[in-house]
Amino acid sequence: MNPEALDQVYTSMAQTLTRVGESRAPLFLSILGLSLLSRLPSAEEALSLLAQAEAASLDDGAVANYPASSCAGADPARPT
Amino acid sequence: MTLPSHVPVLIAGGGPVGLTLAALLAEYGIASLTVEADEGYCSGSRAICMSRRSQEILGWIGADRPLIDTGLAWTGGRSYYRDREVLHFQMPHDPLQRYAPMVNIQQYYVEEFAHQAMRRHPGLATLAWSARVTAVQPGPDGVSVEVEADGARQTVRADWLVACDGGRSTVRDAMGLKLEGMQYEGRYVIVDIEQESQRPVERLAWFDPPSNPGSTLLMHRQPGNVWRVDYQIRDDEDPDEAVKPENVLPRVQSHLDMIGETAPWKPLWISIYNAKCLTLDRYRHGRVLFAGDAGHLVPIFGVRGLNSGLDDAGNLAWKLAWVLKGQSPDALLDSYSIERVHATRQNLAYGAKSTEFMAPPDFGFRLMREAALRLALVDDGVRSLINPRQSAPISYDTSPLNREDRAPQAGPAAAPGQPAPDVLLQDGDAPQYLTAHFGAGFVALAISPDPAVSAVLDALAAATQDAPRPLQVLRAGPGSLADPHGQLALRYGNQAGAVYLLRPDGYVLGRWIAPSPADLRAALAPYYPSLNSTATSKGHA
Repeated sequence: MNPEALDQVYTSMAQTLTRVGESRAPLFLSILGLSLLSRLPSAEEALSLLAQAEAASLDDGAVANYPASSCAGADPARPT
Repeated sequence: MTLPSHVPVLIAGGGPVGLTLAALLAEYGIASLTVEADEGYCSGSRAICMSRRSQEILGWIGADRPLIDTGLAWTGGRSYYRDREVLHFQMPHDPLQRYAPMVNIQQYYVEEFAHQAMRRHPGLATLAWSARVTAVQPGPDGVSVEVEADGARQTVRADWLVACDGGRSTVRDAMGLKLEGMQYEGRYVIVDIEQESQRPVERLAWFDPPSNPGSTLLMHRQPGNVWRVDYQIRDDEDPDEAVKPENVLPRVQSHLDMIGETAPWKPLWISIYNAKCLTLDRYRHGRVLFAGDAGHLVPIFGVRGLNSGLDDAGNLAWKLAWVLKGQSPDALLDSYSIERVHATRQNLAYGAKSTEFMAPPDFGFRLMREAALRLALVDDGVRSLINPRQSAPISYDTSPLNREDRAPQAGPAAAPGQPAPDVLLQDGDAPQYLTAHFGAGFVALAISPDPAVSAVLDALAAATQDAPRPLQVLRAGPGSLADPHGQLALRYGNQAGAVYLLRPDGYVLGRWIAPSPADLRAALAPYYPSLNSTATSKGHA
């Protein structure tokens, strides 16, 4: 897939997620993930992608403990 | 000042688009009066990124040199997720290029340089400060415009009125027209600060930086040790509160601390912005034309605002000149609207995509952006999603002016309707850029033409010698312009006998391989009426 096509898919996926809604997003993403994984040629590749996604989701890196309160005037709350 | 009672062109709005248009028209020998409500150049840096195409257009009025001498050229940028780099992008550029892909400069300099260009044509391009349009009465042959200047009202009769009076256009309101489209909720505070820095000139973007968690922050260098800082505020923040220095300065300080910029600094200008995708559906309404923000508002991300406004001016100037000089019927101006509305729709599509990334409008886009940023740390394949889609010239592939493509084998880069790619040629010892020939008359670019085609081109050029801006003929090949870097072959093909006709604004009108005299004459006659009268005598050349 070239960058333009990837961009289109990204936009479609964001719009679909918004339509599905926050509460059902985990279900939607699980269905999508499973159908993509089932198309891979081997379990090794599937497990490697699962591991990558898990690490990327849990990784808060060095900034996890950043003292957000030192940022005067800004609410450290993440956008919802 | 006392305003003239009649002018060929009245330009409402002396911002960068209006002043550039006035200077371009003056280059074509067209007199105009520009009225500007403010008493001088804009305050605040406003639009700061000037694209390569904008530099080219400013080159037509000789304003490119001061722009480049004053501005800061750049070629790429970096994006960070929290404090880690997720993208290092480069815009297309090479050492042989005429202009850098982008130059950062405060908008008031652009206005000043365009105004200087106007003043090189005294009597042709007049500017009235502190003068505002108060009423517009359009008619079939011109427009009566009421202008308030120095507390007095005067009526100016204009053959053509061009509204360059910005997003809150008085002319647009007076005509009962409305911009249509949508706007995004996400708001960005825009801050200029003065601070010395040794950092290279790049576009810098941080998503969710530790300095301002949850926000998105952009930084650009400007001349004079000025940083532009843009940051997104939360949807629940009051915009009036958000621009107060006590709320702005700590956020800026926090970020400067984070990136290690420790020199003393002071704020210069604070503003606030939200992305809008709005346009008129036509930019020509009889004798009234719209250019720049008066006709369209595009999101700030991708720097398509002023850059598209200058493209409007570059497209409109030659067409208005051709109509006013009697070289073309006024229907030519319909193509201005068609081409530039098409460009706006493209710019809006790119701008919407950029905005969806820079200020995600809803749950799906917020989640996907976080996914893309987190994945980009470990997977190069998705990094392109973070790329900021910077302004690029728009192809007029649907333009009614395009001639049928008779040389598709030469590749897509220089097909009819495309902005003609620049090429560095060599004239004896002198390097010569193709784009340096734009901004005047039409250009015929012939690649190794045989003697018959060469003679036809000479005959056509001779037959346009009495036109205000005659046809220029450029020949590439043995004994004429050389292609030492292979750029011509790469971008225009290297088939002997190819002829490209290029418009005054540097767009490709048509292309042929070994065209017949009739082909070229038919393509050029709409712009050079003298070719009709010579058709019989020269038709067999």
